Amino acid sequence: MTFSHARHASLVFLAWWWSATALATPWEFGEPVTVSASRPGVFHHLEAAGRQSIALSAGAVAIVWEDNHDGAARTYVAWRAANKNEFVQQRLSEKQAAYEPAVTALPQGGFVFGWEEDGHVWVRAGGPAGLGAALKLSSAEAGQITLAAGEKGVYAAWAERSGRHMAIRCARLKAGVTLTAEPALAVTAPQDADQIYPALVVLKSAVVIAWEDRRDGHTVILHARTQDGRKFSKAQALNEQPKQRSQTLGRGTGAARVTLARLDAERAAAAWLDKRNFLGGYDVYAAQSEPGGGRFQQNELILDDFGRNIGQWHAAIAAQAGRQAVAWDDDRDGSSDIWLSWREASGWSENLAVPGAAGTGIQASPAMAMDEGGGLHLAWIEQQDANAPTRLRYIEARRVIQKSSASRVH
Amino acid sequence: MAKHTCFWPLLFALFSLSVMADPPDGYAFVSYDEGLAQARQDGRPMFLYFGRFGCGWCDKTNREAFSDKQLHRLYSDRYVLVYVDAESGKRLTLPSGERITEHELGARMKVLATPVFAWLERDGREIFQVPGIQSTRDFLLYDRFVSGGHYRKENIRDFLSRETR
Repeated sequence: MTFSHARHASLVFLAWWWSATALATPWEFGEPVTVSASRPGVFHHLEAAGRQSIALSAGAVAIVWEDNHDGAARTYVAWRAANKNEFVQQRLSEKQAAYEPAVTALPQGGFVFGWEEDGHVWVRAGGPAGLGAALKLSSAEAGQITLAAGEKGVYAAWAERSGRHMAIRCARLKAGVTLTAEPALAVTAPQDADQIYPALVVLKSAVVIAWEDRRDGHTVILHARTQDGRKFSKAQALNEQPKQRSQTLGRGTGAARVTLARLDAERAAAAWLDKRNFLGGYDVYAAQSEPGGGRFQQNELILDDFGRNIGQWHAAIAAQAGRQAVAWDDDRDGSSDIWLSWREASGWSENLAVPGAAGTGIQASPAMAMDEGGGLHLAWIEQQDANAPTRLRYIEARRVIQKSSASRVH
Repeated sequence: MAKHTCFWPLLFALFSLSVMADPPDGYAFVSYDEGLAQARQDGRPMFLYFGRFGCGWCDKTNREAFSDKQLHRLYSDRYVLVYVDAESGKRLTLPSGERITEHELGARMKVLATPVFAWLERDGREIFQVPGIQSTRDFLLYDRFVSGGHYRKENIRDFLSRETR
């Protein structure tokens, strides 16, 4: 066999292997759709706390983002009604510069939106038929709002200034013709360090919150829950810490941007960026809670061998009926792509470059939701190069029956 | 007793500050936006320090390199000094006009382990970056590479190879 024959045979084998393993993924991806098109000088951002930038309600999809297309930062929602292909845009924020919008679906239908504007956090309810009045939740400088809903109601959490530092606040919202809010709860006693970037999930018996906390002299992901809606449990660490502190590495190696999803009625799933293997930058770790959300089980690295020596960013988790998947971006293939891993019986799958969200150009900042059928709904930011304008993209993936348990896809 | 009452909080405060890995004492580090505005105004390049809350390597570099008086004088004179917290949600505006956070700047500049030091043109374009603990001698060499204009003709690796031969 000549060298060229051998090379040809290798390529044929690789192509067969790729297609065979690609078929083993539990999702069938559709065609990507542009939600908000690129325009010169316009930059879109999906950056809600908890990466809560996409939600699903009775077949409708809502994606929230911020961009500067009218000359200042504003927050927007794009709706796609059930059985429609096109997204319709609407502005969420009012007159001031606005940032970091978040969204959650209401169990009875419709959505609740949150965002930062004029140094405070705001919410409003609505759906494709229209938006309700905006309600200010914070009483001091605040931002990084996130939202979640479930049997125990609709909740918002955010970071609010308390003296010199930011503290996590949480409030139950009352959805009606006009949205109202109960008085905000402090998640912990006052601390001499910042608490930022909360993530939230509502279970049948508890509201679980996680956040970045600097009280130990480095950033730790802490979590707590409330069962009665009046007081949160004592905060516990979500990201495992090394048994011995290193003189060289300081107090800790760093963790950031936790995201939560409802795994089932009584369990939460978490994913976050973690620098415990610090030389390769952030890795994506995940953990799932025990029933009731009071404790989380051991941390799990969800990267395959190709992802471990490279930095990851923007981890987002989605879950439904015991299934869970995590998306993020990294540039292991030379430019930033959206990657996906899902939990199987044996552990986290090898990593899949999302078809339509990988390849030439930059694909980053994923936000993801999972529907009742286990299908994925993924939004991300795309640009041709680092200096090009951005556009907001969306793809849907229908869950299919796996042909084998060997869904090993890189 | 009164002396002791004052002593312990002071000691605790000093210890706490020593591990926070803020910018080194005595240097006029400013925010990214302020630094970019200053650099555009006075024509100096920017020296960008990516730190992290609780970063031990940042603290070590602060103690062992930035405490040097020659380095202090040189960098304070020749550069607009910018500090970025790699985990922070503080907002900044890139030269392109895009508004992002300090954490996101880390993503864009591929900052992995902290500290990372980057030298930027006055318009914000990156000249080069180095990660990890650096010595006073390292920083003096990097300054020669930038202020001597060598970066316009060769990359940092070639420059260091020649200078340290």
